[in-house]
Amino acid sequence: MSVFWVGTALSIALVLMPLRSVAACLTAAAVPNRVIALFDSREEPTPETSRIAQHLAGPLAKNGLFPTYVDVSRPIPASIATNDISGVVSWFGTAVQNDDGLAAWLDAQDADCGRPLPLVVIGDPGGPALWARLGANGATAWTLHNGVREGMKVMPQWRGIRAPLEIPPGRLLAPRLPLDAEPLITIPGLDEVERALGFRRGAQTWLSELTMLAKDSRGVALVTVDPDQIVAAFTGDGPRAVPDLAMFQGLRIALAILLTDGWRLRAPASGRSSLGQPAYALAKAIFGETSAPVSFGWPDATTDKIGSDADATDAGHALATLPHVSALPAYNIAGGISLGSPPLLRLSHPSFGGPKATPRAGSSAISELVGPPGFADPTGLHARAAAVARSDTPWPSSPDVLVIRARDLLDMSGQLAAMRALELHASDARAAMKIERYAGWLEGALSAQIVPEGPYAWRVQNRGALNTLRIDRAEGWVIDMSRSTGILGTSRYGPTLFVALDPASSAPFLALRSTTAAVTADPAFVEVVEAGPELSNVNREGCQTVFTAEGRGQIKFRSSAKPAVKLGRLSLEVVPTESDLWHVSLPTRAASETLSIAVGCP
Amino acid sequence: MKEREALFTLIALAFASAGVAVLLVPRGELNREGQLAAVPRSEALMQLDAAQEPLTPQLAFRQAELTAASGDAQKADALLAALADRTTEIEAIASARADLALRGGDLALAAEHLARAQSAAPDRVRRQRLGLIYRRLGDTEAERALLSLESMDALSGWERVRLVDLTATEGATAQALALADFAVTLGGEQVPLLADRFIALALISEDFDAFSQVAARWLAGPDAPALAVTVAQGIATQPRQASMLAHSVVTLAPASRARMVEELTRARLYRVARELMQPWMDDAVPHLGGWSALILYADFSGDVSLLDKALRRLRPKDIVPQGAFLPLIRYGGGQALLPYQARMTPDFLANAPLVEASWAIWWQRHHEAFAALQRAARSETDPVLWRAVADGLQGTGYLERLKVLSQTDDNLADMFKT
Repeated sequence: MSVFWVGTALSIALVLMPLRSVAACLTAAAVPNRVIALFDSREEPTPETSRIAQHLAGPLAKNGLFPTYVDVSRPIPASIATNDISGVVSWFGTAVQNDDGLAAWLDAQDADCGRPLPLVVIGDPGGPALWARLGANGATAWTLHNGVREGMKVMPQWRGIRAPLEIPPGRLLAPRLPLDAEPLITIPGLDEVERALGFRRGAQTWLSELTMLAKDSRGVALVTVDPDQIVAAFTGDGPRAVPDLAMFQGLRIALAILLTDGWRLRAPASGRSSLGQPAYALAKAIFGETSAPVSFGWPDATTDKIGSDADATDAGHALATLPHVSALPAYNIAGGISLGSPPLLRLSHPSFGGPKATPRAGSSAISELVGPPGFADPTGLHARAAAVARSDTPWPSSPDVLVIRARDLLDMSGQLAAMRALELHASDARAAMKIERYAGWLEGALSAQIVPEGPYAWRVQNRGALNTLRIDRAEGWVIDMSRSTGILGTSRYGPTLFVALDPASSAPFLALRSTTAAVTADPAFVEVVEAGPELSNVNREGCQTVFTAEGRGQIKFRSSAKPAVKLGRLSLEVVPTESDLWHVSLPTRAASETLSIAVGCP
Repeated sequence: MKEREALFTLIALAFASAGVAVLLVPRGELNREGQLAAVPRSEALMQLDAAQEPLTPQLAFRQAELTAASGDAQKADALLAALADRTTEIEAIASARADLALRGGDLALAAEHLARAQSAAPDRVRRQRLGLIYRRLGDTEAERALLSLESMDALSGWERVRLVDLTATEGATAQALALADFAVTLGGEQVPLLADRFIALALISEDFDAFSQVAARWLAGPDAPALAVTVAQGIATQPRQASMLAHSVVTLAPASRARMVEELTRARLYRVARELMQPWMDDAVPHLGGWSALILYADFSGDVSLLDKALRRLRPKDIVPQGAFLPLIRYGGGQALLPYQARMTPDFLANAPLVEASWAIWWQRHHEAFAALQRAARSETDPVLWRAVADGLQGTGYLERLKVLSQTDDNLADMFKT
C-alpha cells in the first residue's frame, strides 16, 4: 500500500516538476508567456513610452514573455486570467492614487493563481499598502546617502553591466531590509542599520530605480543592472522552452529595411558629373541587385514628397515591384518607426535598444541594430555591422536588423556598408526574411502555447509562423530525438539550444534527455544544424531521412557516418566539415523538391 | 567666308581657353588632391593605395579616411598610426583612431586616443564622450580629473551633477559641498538635483549651519519654488532635527515661511509645518500666502483646527479665501459649515459649487445639490472630495442620475473614475 502512495506522489511530482520550474499558476495548462506590467498614466502617458517598455520589454521578449499593460490610474480590470501570467512588474516614480485598492487587487491575483505571483517592483512601490505587501516600511524608506561606495554590498550578479553600479549622494528610497528578505544591494544607513537598494523576499523582488538607471553627462539614461537578472524572477529554474525570435533553421534571421528618407537628395558632384547621383538611383541599384529580401517603406506621402518628381517616383515603383522587395508604408511613431498599415511591425528608437537590443512584439517592437557615427562612418552602418558581429550576450539574442535611409546611400561609406550587409544577408550565414513573414513570426511567438507533457517535455501549439523554439539553461541536456516529433534539428550556442521546428507539423513535441543518460544511438539518425533552403515535412524512416526542400544554399547536418544525399534524382556532393558534421549545397530549382539523406542504407 | 572666320575664331578661343585651364591647374600636392577629389571616392582610394612614393600627411590621412569608409577599420588604424609618427596633427588623428577603436568595441583604447585629442584641442562634445567612456570603464579618477579641468560654468548641467557625485564618492565632502552650492547658483534644469546632493552631504556631515544658511539663500533666490521642495524633503529625512532645521531656515529667510509650510506639508512633516504656522495664529489674519498654506495643511493632514481658528477670526467684511471650506467639508461634511452659515450667501455659493452642494445636502435640498455637483464637475475639483459629497445623495435618486449622466458627460465621468 505504501509503495502505491509513494508511486502516486512521485508521478504527481514528475508531472508538476516542469510547471514548478517555470513558475506557473496552478491553473496554467501551458508555460506562461505574459507579465502584468503596471504603469501609471499620470506619470507615463502611454505604455509604449513607459520605462517598462523601454528597458524591460526587450529582455522580457527574449525570455518568451510579453507585457500586458495595466494603467493603475484607471479602473483596474476586476480580473485578469492568470493562467498565462508569469508574474507582475511595476515601475512607479511616486505613490499611486489608490494603493490599498492595488494591493488588494494583487492579493486577488495571487489567490486566483493559487500561489504568490512573482512580483518585481522597481522604484516606489506605490504607497504604504504596497510597501507593507513587500514587508517593508515605506514611512521610513527615505534616507540620505553620501555617495561613498565604502560599505555598499552588491551581490555579484547585480553589479552593473554597461557601467559600474554607483549610488550618487542625495535623498533616496532605501528601506530597512525586511527580516525575512535576502539582500541584493545594501548601503550602510545613517542610523547604523543597513538599508536596502534591492532585496528579494519569497516571490517578490524590490529594486531602487537608482540601481536600474543612471544619467550620463548628456542626461541620457544609462542602464546599469542587467535587466536579464530582473526577468529571471519570472522564469524559474532549469531548462526553459521559449519561442525564439532570432534564429531560423540554425541561422540568424536577417531583416533589411529601406526607408525613403532623403529619396530625392543627390550625392556631391564628382569630376565626372556636374550633378551627383540621386539617392533613389543608388537605392535602386544597390537594393535592386541583391537577392536578399528587402522591406521597402514605400509609398508613403507623409515621410517624403516623392510624388512631385517623376524620376524619383518611377525609381520607387521599379524597386517596389521587384520580386524580392516587399513594399509597404512606413511612418514615424512615438519612439520609433512603424511599418505597414495597420502596422505589421514597429522599430523602436535606437535609444531604446542599442546593439544588443532584443526584439519586441505586440505594442512594442523590434529595435534596429545601430552604431554611432564616427570617423569615415557618418551613417554608423559600419559600426552597426561591427556591433552585430560582436553581439554575444547571449548570442544571438536578436535578429540582424539593417535599417537604411535612402540618404545613407549618398555617402560611399554608407553605400559600401549597406552592400556588405546585404551580401551577408544573401549568404549562407543568414536567414533573410521579408518583414511580413517576421511579423507573422512575432505573432506566432505571442500566440504559441508551450504545454508541458511530462518532465522536460513540451508540446508546441498555436505557433503560427514561429519555427524556432529555444531551450534556455540547457547545459547538460539535449533533445531526445527518439521521443520528439516535428523537429528538423538543433543547434547549440553555449548553454542554449535552438530547436528548428518542422513547419508542416501542427503540434511538434520536444523531449529533453540528460547528456549523461545511457541511450543507444541510432546510427541512421540525421538532424539539421543549419539550413539556407527551407525544409519541411521531415520523415525519418529506417536509414532514410526525407525532407521537402525549397530554395538554394547550404545545408549543414549531423550524421554518424557519411550519408548519400539526393535532391529529387540528383545526387549531391557531401562535404565533411567537422566530426560528424556534413554539408551539401542545393542548386537553384524552380519548385520544391524531395531531399533524401540516407545513412548506412544497403 | 564669314562662317569660316567664325569657326577659326571659335577654334582659337577654344585653344586659348585650354591654355588658360592648363595654367590654372594647381601644382604639386594641391594638384594631386584636386585630382583625387574629382574622381569617385572608391577610385581615389585605389589611386592612393597604388601610389609608389610616400604620401604627404594630408594624402595619407585621406587614404586612411577612405579605407575606413570602405569598411576596413583595422587597416585604416594602421595607416593613422604610421601617420601619427610624422605629423603634428595630433587631434584629428587621435579622434579618428578613437572612433575606430569604438567601432572595434575597445573602450580603453578609445579613451586613450580621445584623451590625447582632448588634451590637444579641448572640445565640449568630445569631453562628454570621453567622460561617458571613463564611466563605462569604471575609471572614476580619470572622469573626475577630466571634469575638474573645466570651470564649473563651462560644464553642462549633467556634468556638474556628475562632478559633484564623483567628488562625493571619493569622500571629499567639503569640496563636494562647495561644488554643489556653486553649481546651484549657476541655475539650470539640474538645480534640484544639485541641491539634493548638497542637502544630503550637509545633513549627513551634521553641518546644520551650512545647511540653514545655504537653504535660506536659495529660498530667497529665483529657483525658490523648486528648491523649497528639495529643502523640505531633505528636512523630512531627519525627524529628530527637522524642527530645528525648519525654524532655522525660516528665521534666516522669513519670506519663505508659507512656502516651507506647504512643502513640509507635502513631505508629510505635519508637526513641523504646524509649528511654523504658529505665528499666524497670534496675528489677526494670515496673509494671502499664509492662507493657502493653512488650507493645504488642513487638507493634507486632517488637522483643521488651525484653519477653523483662522476662519472664526475673520471679520464679516473679510473675504473668505478660495477653497478654505473644502478641508472642513472633507473631514466634517456639511455639518462643519454650520459655524459659518452667515457666509453661505447666494453670492458666495455661486462661486463655490462644491460648498453649495455640501451645504444643500445638509439642508436636504437635494435638487440644489444635484445642480451644484454638476457645476462643480465642470471646474477643477478633486474627484475624491466630489464623490464624498455626492455620496450624501445616496438613496435620493440624484446620485443615480449623476451616474447616468456621466455616461455622456466627460466632466462627470472624470469624477466617477478611480
